[in-house]
Amino acid sequence: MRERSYNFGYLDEATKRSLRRAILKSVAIPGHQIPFGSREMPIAFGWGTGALQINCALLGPTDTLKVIDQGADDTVNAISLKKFLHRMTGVRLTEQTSQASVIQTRHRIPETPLRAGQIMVYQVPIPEPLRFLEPREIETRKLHAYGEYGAMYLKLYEDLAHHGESKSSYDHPVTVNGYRLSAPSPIPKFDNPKLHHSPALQLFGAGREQRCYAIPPYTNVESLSFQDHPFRVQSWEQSCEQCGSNNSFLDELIVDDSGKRRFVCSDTDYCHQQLSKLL
Amino acid sequence: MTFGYQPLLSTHKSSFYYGNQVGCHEISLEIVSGQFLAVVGESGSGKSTLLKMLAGEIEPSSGQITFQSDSYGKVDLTQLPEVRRRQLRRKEIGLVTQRPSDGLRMHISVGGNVAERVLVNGVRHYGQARELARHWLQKLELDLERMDELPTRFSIGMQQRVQIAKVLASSPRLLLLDEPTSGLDVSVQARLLDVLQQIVREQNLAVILVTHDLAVARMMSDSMVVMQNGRVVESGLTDQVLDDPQHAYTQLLTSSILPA
Repeated sequence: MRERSYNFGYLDEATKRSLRRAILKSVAIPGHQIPFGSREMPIAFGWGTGALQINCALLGPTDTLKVIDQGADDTVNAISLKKFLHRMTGVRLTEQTSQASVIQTRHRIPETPLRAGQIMVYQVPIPEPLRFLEPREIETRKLHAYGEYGAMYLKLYEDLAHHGESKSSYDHPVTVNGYRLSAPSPIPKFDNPKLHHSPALQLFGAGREQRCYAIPPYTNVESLSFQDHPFRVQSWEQSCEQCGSNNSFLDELIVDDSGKRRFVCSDTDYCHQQLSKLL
Repeated sequence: MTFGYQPLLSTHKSSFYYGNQVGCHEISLEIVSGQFLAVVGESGSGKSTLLKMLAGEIEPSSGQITFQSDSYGKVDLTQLPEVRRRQLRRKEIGLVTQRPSDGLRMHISVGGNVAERVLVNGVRHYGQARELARHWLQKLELDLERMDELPTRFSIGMQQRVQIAKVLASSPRLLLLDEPTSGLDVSVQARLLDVLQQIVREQNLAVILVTHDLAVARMMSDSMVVMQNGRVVESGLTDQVLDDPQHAYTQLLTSSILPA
């Protein structure tokens, strides 16, 4: 049931409108960071305030919401966010990817393929992919404006020189729509290919940094790589110990004091689906 | 074609003021490919300001700077859109700063630093970038075994060579050196200058060297300008200026060399 003492979606109507304007702008310029007036939210920065605000502005009474954290529907962060949004809007909640109209996520894109009409909302800690190269905001904006992305390859160069392969396992930078360099938030690079030509609308919100950006449906998204070292995603020798899947992203869990390890799907909904097929 | 007389870079009454303070005042000079020009003068005479202006790091308050670019032909740097000016700075004009830590990324390996100059000019091939980095580090007599180490583990003299290798990796036409050998001991300085001179001849580079060391200026340069209080007080061939100084300040400068 919706909490009646707050406005629908927690934020006031004017704030929601300003957020929607920022979201529309970000959809119009794929991958480009749009500033928005980030509000104080009843959770701490770093816990998903950016995505939460986007959701507050986005959700309508008929939406169905799924929230995941590290792929799981049942972690503390996912449950708290879900509860909050449910109290403020009264939307239906689901754990099934296919049932959701809006999915808020940190770290993962669900294994179940997304469909047209769905919206992914990502929690982003550092929206600026050039930040590690250049601390000055004025300069990074120029680098974006002039498309001066050459130095970004330094990160790949360093990995190759030291390790012989690209070591970034998450937040591997992408080029959106053939031009703009973007940070895909802390998703593993395993999920990068899912960004490409996704039928769903993908929105990214960074609350502390007060930036949002978007990848509209069916947009080209290319992971940064050298011509002679193509982009590759990580793979596992093991398969999931619960459902036996050998093509999903696996979490490595240490299960006892002697260091025994188990590999299980990070996407709990996907794992349950596979299990129910086996039964 | 006026062979050899087409200047690569010329300034016409270029000035820069820090508020009311004169940085440099109405500087006019010319340099052709293959020429080595030394700019001398005491601290605060406007040498570095002039160099920053030529490198496009600061915008002149007035005057023109004409550059003969490979990509854009003859251009006035002060009128050029910023995006192109930045492109020239990445490729055709190389600035070597006095402190290597200003020109290098200290958290990126030595090889990566040199490779960066190649990457920012559009190379997207790791093997190619690495090969070029290797080539230029070798030219500057650096140990290739150590190319994946951080510059912080190198001596200042070696860091300075890395910086020069980095700048040269884009095959610039014009090299701007801001006191590149100050703070180095004499033997290291001599070796660095030697290597530099060799490369400059090979590549037919135009070089503008800012220094307060008259011995270095005499050894390296063909011509010289002497600056005082932001103005050029004397210019000409290096030997001529140093052996037969006309301006009172130049006379003072040359007479203040310690006797050997």
